[in-house]
Amino acid sequence: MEILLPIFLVVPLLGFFISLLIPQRKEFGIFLSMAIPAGVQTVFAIGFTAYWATSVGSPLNIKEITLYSSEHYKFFIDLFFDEVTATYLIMSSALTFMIAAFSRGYMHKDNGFKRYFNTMILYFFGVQVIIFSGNFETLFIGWEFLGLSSFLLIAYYRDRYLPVRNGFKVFSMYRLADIGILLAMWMMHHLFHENVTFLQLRDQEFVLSNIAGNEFLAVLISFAIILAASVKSAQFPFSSWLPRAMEGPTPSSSIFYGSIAVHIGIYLMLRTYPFWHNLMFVKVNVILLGLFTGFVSSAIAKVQFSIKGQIAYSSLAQIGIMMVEVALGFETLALIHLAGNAFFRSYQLLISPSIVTYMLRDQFFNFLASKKADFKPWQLKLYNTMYVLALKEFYMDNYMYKYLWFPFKRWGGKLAGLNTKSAIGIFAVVGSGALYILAFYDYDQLNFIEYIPDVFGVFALAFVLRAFTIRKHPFGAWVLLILNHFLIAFSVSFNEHFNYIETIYYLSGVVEAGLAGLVILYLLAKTEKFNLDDYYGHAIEHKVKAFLFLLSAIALGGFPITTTFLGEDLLFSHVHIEQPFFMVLLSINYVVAGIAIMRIYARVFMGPNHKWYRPEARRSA
Amino acid sequence: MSQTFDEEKVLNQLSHFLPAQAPLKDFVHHNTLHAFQKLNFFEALRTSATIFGNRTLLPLCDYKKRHTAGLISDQIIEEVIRINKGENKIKHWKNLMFSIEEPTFFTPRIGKLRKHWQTDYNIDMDGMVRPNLIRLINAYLDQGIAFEGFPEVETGLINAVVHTQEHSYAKLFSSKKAIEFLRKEDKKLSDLLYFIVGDERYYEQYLIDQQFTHPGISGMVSAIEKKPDAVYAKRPITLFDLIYLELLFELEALESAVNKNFRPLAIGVKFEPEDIFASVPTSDYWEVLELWHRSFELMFHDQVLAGVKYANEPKESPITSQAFFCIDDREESIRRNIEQIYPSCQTFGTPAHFNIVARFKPENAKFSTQICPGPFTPTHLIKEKDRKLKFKSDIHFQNKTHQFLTGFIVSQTVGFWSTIKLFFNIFNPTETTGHYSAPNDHMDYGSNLIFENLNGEMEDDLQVGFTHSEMINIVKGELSNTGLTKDFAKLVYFFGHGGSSTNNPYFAGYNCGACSGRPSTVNARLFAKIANRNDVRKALAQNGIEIPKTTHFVGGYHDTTQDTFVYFDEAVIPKELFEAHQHNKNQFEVALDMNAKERARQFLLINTKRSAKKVHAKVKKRALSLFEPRPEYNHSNNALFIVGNRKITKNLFLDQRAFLNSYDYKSDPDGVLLTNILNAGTGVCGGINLEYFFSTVDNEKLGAGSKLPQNVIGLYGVANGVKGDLRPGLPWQMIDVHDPVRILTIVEQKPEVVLAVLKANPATFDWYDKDWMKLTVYNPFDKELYILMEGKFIPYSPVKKSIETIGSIEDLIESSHSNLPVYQLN
Repeated sequence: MEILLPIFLVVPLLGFFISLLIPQRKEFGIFLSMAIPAGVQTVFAIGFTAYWATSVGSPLNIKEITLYSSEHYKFFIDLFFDEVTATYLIMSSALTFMIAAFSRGYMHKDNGFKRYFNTMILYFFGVQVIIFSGNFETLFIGWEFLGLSSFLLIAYYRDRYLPVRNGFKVFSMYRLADIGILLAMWMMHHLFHENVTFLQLRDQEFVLSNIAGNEFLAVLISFAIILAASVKSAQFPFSSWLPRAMEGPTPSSSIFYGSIAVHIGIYLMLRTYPFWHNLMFVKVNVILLGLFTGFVSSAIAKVQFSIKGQIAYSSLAQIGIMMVEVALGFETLALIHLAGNAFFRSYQLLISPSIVTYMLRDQFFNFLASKKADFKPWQLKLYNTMYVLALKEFYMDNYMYKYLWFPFKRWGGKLAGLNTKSAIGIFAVVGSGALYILAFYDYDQLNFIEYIPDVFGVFALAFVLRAFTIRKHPFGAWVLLILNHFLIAFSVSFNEHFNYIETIYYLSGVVEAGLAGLVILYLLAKTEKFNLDDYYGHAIEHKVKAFLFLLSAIALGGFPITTTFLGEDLLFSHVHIEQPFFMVLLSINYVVAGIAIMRIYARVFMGPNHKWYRPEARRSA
Repeated sequence: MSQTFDEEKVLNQLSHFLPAQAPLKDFVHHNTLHAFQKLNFFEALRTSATIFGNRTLLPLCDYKKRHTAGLISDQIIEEVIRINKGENKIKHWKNLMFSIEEPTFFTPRIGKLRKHWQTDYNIDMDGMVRPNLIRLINAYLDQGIAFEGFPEVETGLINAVVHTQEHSYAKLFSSKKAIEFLRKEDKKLSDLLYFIVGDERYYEQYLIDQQFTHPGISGMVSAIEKKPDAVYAKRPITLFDLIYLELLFELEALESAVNKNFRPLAIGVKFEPEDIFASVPTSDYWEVLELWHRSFELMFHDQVLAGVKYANEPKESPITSQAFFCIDDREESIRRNIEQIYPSCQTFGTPAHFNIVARFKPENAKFSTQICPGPFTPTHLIKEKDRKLKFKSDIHFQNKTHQFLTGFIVSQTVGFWSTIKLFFNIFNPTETTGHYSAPNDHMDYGSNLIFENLNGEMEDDLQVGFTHSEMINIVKGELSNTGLTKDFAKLVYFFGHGGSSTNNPYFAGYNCGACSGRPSTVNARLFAKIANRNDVRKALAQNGIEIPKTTHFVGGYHDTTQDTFVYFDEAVIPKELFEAHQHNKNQFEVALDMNAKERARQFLLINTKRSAKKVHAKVKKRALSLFEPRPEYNHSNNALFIVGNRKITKNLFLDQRAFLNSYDYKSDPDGVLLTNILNAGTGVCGGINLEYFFSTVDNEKLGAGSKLPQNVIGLYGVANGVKGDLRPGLPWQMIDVHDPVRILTIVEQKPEVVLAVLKANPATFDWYDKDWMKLTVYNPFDKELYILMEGKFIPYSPVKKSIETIGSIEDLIESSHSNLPVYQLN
């Protein structure tokens, strides 16, 4: 039966490729390219699940393709199916099918009709990869597709400021979730000494024997997973991105932030439950996190003056409760709660414009002037305090900026002296030295060899932070980001001996994407003005260049479309578990580099196009 | 540029220039650039664009594209240049029209001063302040989406903020200086501006810059300040409050981003303050743009004028029934379709408040609503009794679902039901609680009306019902205005109108403009009731209007979205007329099918090649769909306002473009009736037209952008996402098929009479004299056209010398999705 599992991935992927081929004006064809895969998937899913539940009942697992294999590391695609997959599968494909039908009329005549449907199918594919994944590597591929499509749909109205800014904000948060998965993968590899599958995790004896003596590492792994799950499911203190993500067309917000995408954190927690449920400390933390999110989010929902913001926060409160349910081991309850909440909130979002007619009618006939509550002074003070806290979203957004993103900006700002020329100079000297040593010396014998990777790591991070804060030259920033990958390759090469083919995997994608990006920027600069201190919105007039640059950007960021994605995972595996400092350097590098790359794309190609013959959106819109 | 700062003057100026859109429930169309209406139209466009950086006309390339496609002809271009620049300048200007290019970049006057925060201080002032400000103001104004409200709202914004600041552990403001200014007794903007801007000469420019970074919320505050009744839950607020708080936020932002002793913006700078509102000289670019636009307009207007002048006289048929409709452009097509299908029905157009000036209060309602044009101040109240419809509640809209525990239960139970509901609504839409319809939200068709005042009863300072003599005046005025004072048919219908849409925050804009954005059901029904009274008829007979005993008036309602008619009080139709009424109903039904088919041609998603009945069924479903952003196209085609006998337009296909007001020049030799009509109609048509116009030419700055991502804020406005500014204006989905042309008014009367009427009513005259609307007179005595130029009527001879005849409207409709030219029907 497991032989059928790949079909669930092939169907949406096929839909995606077909949707790319249909021209914009054939609205019906584009619609079908989403509706048919989603419809087929729904029917197939129900039949498959019914058969599985009655005649198999136990999880299905299949090792699909091995992408890379060496003595110490195997990278393979693995598919898995159990009741969690089944629930998500039926819920997501049924909703996607309905949203496709809904969007056909809703998006009619919109000049991004095709782009919208392309992105929605891509997102559908990403979700299917996640829910069918049998190991972290496979999951991570879907995770990346979900993140990218999310960004593209939030910034769907790419010629306005707020969608682009908020899309970028959410992309940055997602990058944080990505690093959670990467770290979990890395530590798991060291804990189990192999790439474990989710099926193996269900073997309690196997898990417990490995955890024994490594409890601290196991807790760290759990927290990496919790980080990933709580960012994607917008748990406290990451909640504030969710309402800000409601910038795309209503049906896309409904399916992403009302239902499927925002519940994916719960999926991750359910999937990894067999691993962390033995750790009481982790369980208590998950329960507290869930309860606190529930409390904070429902308080915020009470004071929201915008309907979508209110739905977002009330949905979050329920997701908080689901976290508790998962931690307490009530899997079935969590799954029912999850499906019900997803359906309920997405419907509430779809009918959200109706709130005006409904409430005005209600008030017209039943209006009661708000009675002044008879508060004692302390109650009044408590009410006001809660009101202000909730209105300010418990300062989550401010703190996120102040303590998470601002430090990067400040460090990057301090590196203002590092201009493109000097960076290339530094790279030339350091790089050729490193190459020389790597090629001709037995560098294990060098003094301080254990610090060399750290030194390269610091150089790489400096390059990335600088690229993140460059205000003028997109070329400079782009070059720094390419060089960054080379520095990382050097640093890992000094860390451990391994097959140079892995470095080639890693760098070949970087070189291709980097060069392509440079060429596109060069061609664009021939006719247009742009730099990095404002948005320029060139995607409107340079659709093809924008699309190609986006491809180069995501490839350079390690997206699973080039070998860099594979290489990145391989290089990570060469970092030892006793090198936390080096790993921190690489992690920060990964997060900031991704953001810096997307920043270039966003500034050059998105936002309002300032040409006078084109109505330009205000900054406040 | 004044050297001293006059707070009151600047506040007045701001509230004059900020968008003046009312909260959603009272959405009424108005001229988006109303603030510039004292200028000549094209000067206003140039000025607005230069000051605010919004587009006010289509881009040059757009006009040129239309020229290439043959939609603007060379002949018309030359005619336009000849009229506006003179015969001998044709070559010069025509060359310029094709050689001048649009500037690629353009820096408006607004925003130049505050830009220095970015350039001189390297801080993003707007980014730091705007989100906090918008959040605070919206939280305060919110009408009931939040279920834990802002503390102490009834005391006014600043007092509520002060209260919250004093009685809370979490603070709205944290800077010492800001708190000090918040507590201050005598609050003045200049005190804060002194710290932030420093030099008094720059204050005015600074405030204007500042308010136009978020015109949506500032406009809403100013609208509520002017009309506190526009919201149900009272929110005392002034523009001053908003600006004062914004300056406090700025103070705080500067203290944290720069330092506590920051240098005020205008201290030690080299540039001089700029007079933002100084007049804008013209240039070749603007002249050329004007010529292009005039040509584009004349291309259409000329066809209409040719039609009026050259079309054949319509065939006369014996009249067996008469029907009154609103002047609304959407009623042009239903009237035409009725006349085509049922020639013995005569139709009339008149503003659908039907001369009834009142407020209306449904039974059990807590408020009353205005059922006459916005500028009127009614002193009468009509009440409803015996309401049968009950308020249907829907769990999806209840705030219980957003609470911790109820949410827990509801999501696991109702959630599965929601998705089934969604499924059925997508594949077979039926009415939901999110549907706006006339009986639910206005008058219940099965109820009774209290409309007669017998013993001087009053309620809410309004007189309940009309006295006997007031009723007589209503009917008399209405019938004389439209010219129906004799030859009454046996059945006379009065149709009000309104739209029914689902999931649509702009629902009020689809209703009757003459009833302040409500359906005109009450007015239609009431007028018929009054006109059927024997005592009223007797008195009318003494006034020379003899309504035969056998004539019966029937009130009705046209749902323009679904294309359905409802008839009120059918039970009181005399038995001997009942059969005739049934016959009329059947005929109207056929016309409605045809009308639905005609409209469906612009919807694209409906196959219009099918029979009218089938298309109509689809059109009806459309109004119930949750996913339909265009339940109908509303006033999208509007371009004409025609005052005259139906004869001059009856034989023309006008494609829902004309506001038609019936008027009989013969009964009005000195223009008394015309005065009423022009005074009432001009502003309404102009307002609708110009809102569509400006929302089309700049959908981002003057319109609301796309409707698809909209988020309802506090029940009074919409924003794009959760954090953005409010978006006044019309969304793209309402204007996507609109041709931005000004209204051409055509009056059937002697030019000298029209001129005399207008000169006596300067407010109305200004619309035409300043060129915000075009005016032509069709003189029925010499059958010539006269166009208003510089305050005088000059003869106009259409460029087009004939008008094409169309064989079958149905074929025409099926052939094209776009706006159609004018044709002759027979």
